[in-house]
Amino acid sequence: MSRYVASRVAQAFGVVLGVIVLTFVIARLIPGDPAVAYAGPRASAEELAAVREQFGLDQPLWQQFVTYITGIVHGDLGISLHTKQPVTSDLIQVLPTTLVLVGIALVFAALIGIPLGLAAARSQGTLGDLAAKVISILMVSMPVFWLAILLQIVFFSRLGWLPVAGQYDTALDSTSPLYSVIGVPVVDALLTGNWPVFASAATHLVLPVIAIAAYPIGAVAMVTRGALLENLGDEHIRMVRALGFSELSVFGRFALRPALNPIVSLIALVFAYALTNSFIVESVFNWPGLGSYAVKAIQTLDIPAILGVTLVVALLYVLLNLIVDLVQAIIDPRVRA
Amino acid sequence: MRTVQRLVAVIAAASLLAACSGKAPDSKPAPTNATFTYINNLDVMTSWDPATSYSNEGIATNNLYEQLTRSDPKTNKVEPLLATKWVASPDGLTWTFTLRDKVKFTTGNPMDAAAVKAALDRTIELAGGGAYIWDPVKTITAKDPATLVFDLKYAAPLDLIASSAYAAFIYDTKAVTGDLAKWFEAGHAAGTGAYVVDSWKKGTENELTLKANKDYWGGWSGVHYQSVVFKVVPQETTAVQMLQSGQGSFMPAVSSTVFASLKGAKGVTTEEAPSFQNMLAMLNTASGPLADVNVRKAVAEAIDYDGIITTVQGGMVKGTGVVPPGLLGYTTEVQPTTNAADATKLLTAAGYGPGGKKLSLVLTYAAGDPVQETVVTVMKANLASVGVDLQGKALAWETQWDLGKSTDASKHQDIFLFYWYPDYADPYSWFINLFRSATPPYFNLSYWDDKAADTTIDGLQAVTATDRPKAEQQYVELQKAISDQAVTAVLGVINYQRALASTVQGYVDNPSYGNVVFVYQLTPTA
Repeated sequence: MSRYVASRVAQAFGVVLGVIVLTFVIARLIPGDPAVAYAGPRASAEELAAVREQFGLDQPLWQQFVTYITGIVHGDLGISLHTKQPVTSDLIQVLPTTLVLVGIALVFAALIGIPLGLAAARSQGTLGDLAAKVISILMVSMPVFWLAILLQIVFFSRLGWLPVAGQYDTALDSTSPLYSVIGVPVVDALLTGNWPVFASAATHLVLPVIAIAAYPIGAVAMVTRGALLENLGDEHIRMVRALGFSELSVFGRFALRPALNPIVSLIALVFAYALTNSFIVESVFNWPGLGSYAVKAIQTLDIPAILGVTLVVALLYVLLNLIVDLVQAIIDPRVRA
Repeated sequence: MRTVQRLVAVIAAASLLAACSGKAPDSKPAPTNATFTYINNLDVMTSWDPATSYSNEGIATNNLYEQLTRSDPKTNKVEPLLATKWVASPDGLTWTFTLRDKVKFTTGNPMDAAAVKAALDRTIELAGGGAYIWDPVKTITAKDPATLVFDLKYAAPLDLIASSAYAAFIYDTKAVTGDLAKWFEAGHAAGTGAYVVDSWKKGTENELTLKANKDYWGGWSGVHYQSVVFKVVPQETTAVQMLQSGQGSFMPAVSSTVFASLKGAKGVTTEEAPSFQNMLAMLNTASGPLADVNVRKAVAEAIDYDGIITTVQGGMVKGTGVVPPGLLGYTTEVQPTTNAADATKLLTAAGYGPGGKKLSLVLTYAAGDPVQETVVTVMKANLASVGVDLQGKALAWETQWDLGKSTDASKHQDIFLFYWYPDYADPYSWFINLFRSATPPYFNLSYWDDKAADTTIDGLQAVTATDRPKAEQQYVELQKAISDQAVTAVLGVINYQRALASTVQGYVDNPSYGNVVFVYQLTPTA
């Protein structure tokens, strides 16, 4: 097992290094002067020269790369051309907000998607199975941008049940001031026992969580159904049934466990998908997370920020895949071979 | 992707608004603690230093700080602000400003001549952002606490310059004893404006909140907004829903389709006004096929200017010369004309068209700008009708400009599409930047090199300061020369399309200050 872990960690390190090199090279190959993005569209030639010198943009490419790698090792990702703040501190501020959003969405995806797939498999060929399939296909195929706006129109504009955007009702700042712990209102409010803000923050979470969770719910349900049906035809299930185990045990213990491997892999995949979808969802719901930060960085050709976001997303993805590989190795020892 | 998003946004906004049309409720006085919420699609504060600030933050800083004067394009006059009167010497080289009495900075220090001199000296010394507007100034002298004298290197319209939306703020340089720039960047302000900073939470939805400056020299009699919130909402459909639900007061820019659907919607009023920003197609006068003036004229005549205005659905109004309406030198004597038959003749004479060479032109424009995308589509069709193949290249501004100002002429485009706007209400900026020859090129992206025009341009500021009718005439003559030489095609003047909550009363657009709302001048109603 330790050799397997070491090999997977080494592979993950290689992937991250590859991402760093690739993104750095691509960012430098894009035509256009990042100094203009920093100094503004009407900057004088002198101002542009000063900015280039300040950020080392006048240095040879290899020297810029060495500086960048040295910076990464020391946790320094450079200065954002847009916010004019260190990219590392920007990312520390926005990342927890997105992780909370995506994390809750994925938990919901697992809690809804797996039982939905299980129910569909159990009632294969019935109307219930068809309904589960239709729901899953709808969730997988609906464009997230459209779904987000639709949710706003229905639940805010038409029904008035849920807030349109934001993290919580800022009018509460005067009556129930919120103290920052990790910088995510719903968590901060929970940790500090600020129930009015917690209630508000929880309601603000509903629509963006649904928008992000939709695809993972559909995908998890479909894969769970497929994997279960495949396992249900296996000999060991027939034997379990012959031995008189209850249907709940047959599904929950004997069919679901071998089906968990593809589901766990899928959750790692949909995590990346959800993270990318957060770019759109955060923009629509005004959620100040990594997605909103990335969109602004791209719009303003903020290369240090773009590189920082890419690195963080790559790190998260690699880390999650590593965890999934290790979990799979525990669930199914054949994986280690 | 953007097209799909816009389409979805339009459908969503249309369905959202369909059920909301109706007459706005009658206005009643608002509670005394009314808040004005400005919905912006980008971060508000990118810089806090009033000396070097030169970006989006102008929408906030113009409520925190004041200038000596304020430009009013409606009257075409410069109005008093922190200066109550001013006089220029006959040669335009000395300007004496009398300051408003008993005005204090929000720090508590008096706003007197010494303080104003210190602020402007610092702005000039830092030389960042729009500080170049003070280039004509040789020295500033605080003659007495109420009198400030500017001695200039060359005559210039200092009353106009002092009204600039950037780099002309008067601030307290003694706000702190330590590093003033660092103090500003921490989210502090030290102006004389009607509002002071209440909170700044970078990266959050309600990025900036201002509250009333209780000691404001204008006083607080009557009904005014007591606080201002700058809310960052990137998505237009979300912003519109906020405005309609009363969570917002003002959207500075609404897309044409959404703007049309908002007209008559309950709880919302719409405003449109021409800006000082125009869209220009700079034709390459130095290299490539457009170096031939007849080919340039043919291209200019092939463009369907009215068609462009119709297609952008209210996003632009038709321009005349280079100077937009409301500014010195605006003229109707220069008119863009469309004449496809004449264009074909000119092209044939230049050896292009049937039996001749094939003419292919490269046009660069800003990627992601829907108005420019639309205009390029129209131009491509217009030029195709006279046998010219127009290749539109959408580039990031940084890239577009980088190629345009390259010292290597082979990298230059045939047509450079972009917007221009002045830093203060004066047309000089167009001429000195876009039509004055310069090597290497910077913003003169037509690469026009006309010594007579250069001489006139170099003298424009002095003439404006001393003899405005003559300056007006010179601006008109220059525009005629630019039109005769087909140096640029004026494709239109940007039309501001704003949306306001119907509870906001007294809004007047001032194109000299871009998207700024002077909140103190508004009256809230319930």
